Amino acid sequence: MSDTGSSRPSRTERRRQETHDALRDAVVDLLLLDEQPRLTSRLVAEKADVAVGTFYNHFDSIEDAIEASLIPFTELILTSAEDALEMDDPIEGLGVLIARFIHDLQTNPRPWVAARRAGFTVQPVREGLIAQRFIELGIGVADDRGAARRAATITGRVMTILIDEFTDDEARPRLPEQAGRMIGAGLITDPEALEHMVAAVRDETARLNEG
Amino acid sequence: MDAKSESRSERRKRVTHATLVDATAELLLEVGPHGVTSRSVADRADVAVGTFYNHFDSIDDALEAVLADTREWARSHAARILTADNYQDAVSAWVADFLRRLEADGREFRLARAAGLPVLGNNESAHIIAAMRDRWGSMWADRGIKPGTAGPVMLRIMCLCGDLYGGQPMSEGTAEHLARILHATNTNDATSVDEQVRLTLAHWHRLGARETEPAAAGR
Repeated sequence: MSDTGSSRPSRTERRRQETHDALRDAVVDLLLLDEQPRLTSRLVAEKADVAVGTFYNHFDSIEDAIEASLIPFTELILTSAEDALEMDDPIEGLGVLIARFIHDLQTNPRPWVAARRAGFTVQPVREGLIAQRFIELGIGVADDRGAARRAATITGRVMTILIDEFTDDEARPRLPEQAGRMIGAGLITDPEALEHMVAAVRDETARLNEG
Repeated sequence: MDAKSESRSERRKRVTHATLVDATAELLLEVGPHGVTSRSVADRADVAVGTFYNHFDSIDDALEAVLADTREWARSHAARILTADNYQDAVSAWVADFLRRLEADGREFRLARAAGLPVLGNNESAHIIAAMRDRWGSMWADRGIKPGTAGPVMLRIMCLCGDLYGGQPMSEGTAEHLARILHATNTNDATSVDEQVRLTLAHWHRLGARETEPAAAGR
């Protein structure tokens, strides 16, 4: 995580981190309530059982706290997309990205659903990089930037739709594959390449389920 | 609908109604649903606020009117799918018709999105999905599809396609690509996706041909 190596963080640092996590959890809990209250620093502090002043030691504003609470949501997409881009076979990389996304969505849906409640959508910026890379390699749906942007937007929006519609679903073994086919079709036209990518989703899902 | 049999007041009422629907649509796209009020719509249509309420019970009522044609289109297709003998063929025809409709005008799908309303109303969706479950449930189960999600996901992706591709001429590549995404929402088997995409493109070409030769068909 940090560059302190193996040395143990000090007690104060640990306490600070615990409080920080408690505040973030409180935001997610509140966002997931059926009757959603208007989020305020007071409400979040109460829920996390700390003083309001403590809230402001950690966050500048309630918006800041919401964003920080939803970092896992955005981070997973960003790091996975970077990993995928670095792979020798970008089609396989995309499959890995999708498998990780669906796996996380099924095993840990809370931050994703909370992020949606707060109005977040999966942003197409990084997926745009993938679309661009696909164009360079000649396997993409598009041959110009405008079309690449559309392909990236489809990818992000389909992921967002999956968060909305599939998180209440029992983990179904076939969902990763189906989701892969939907998201992948937004970026890849060649049916053979698409099946290759879906196979990568299948492999990565199997690996994740073992681990 | 014979124009001659229509009285002047009926004609005026119809024109005002259309103007109000247009004004609602324009405002919806310009400022979003929160900016659409009976006053702002009346202002835009250059009529009194009272006139607005002669035509609509509420602003929601006006928003529904904006989507009426699209709703009717989606409803009639859903009904056709429910009565079809061959599900694959019926769904493919639906998607093909959707793609052609998209080419002609994407505005209606942008409107649905701007209004935050589904292309089909919630009650209708629930009804149609329940009927689809009766009719096609076992097949969906075989394919690992949950009926409650396949329908809504497909309709939402249709709105998304409206945002991105509405009103633009579509190449065969784009049509194939969108058909693949849409069919992937209700089947998980690669072979049947391919088959549905193939059927969709065949319908899509046929629909395009029909539009270009109305005179030859004697219409």
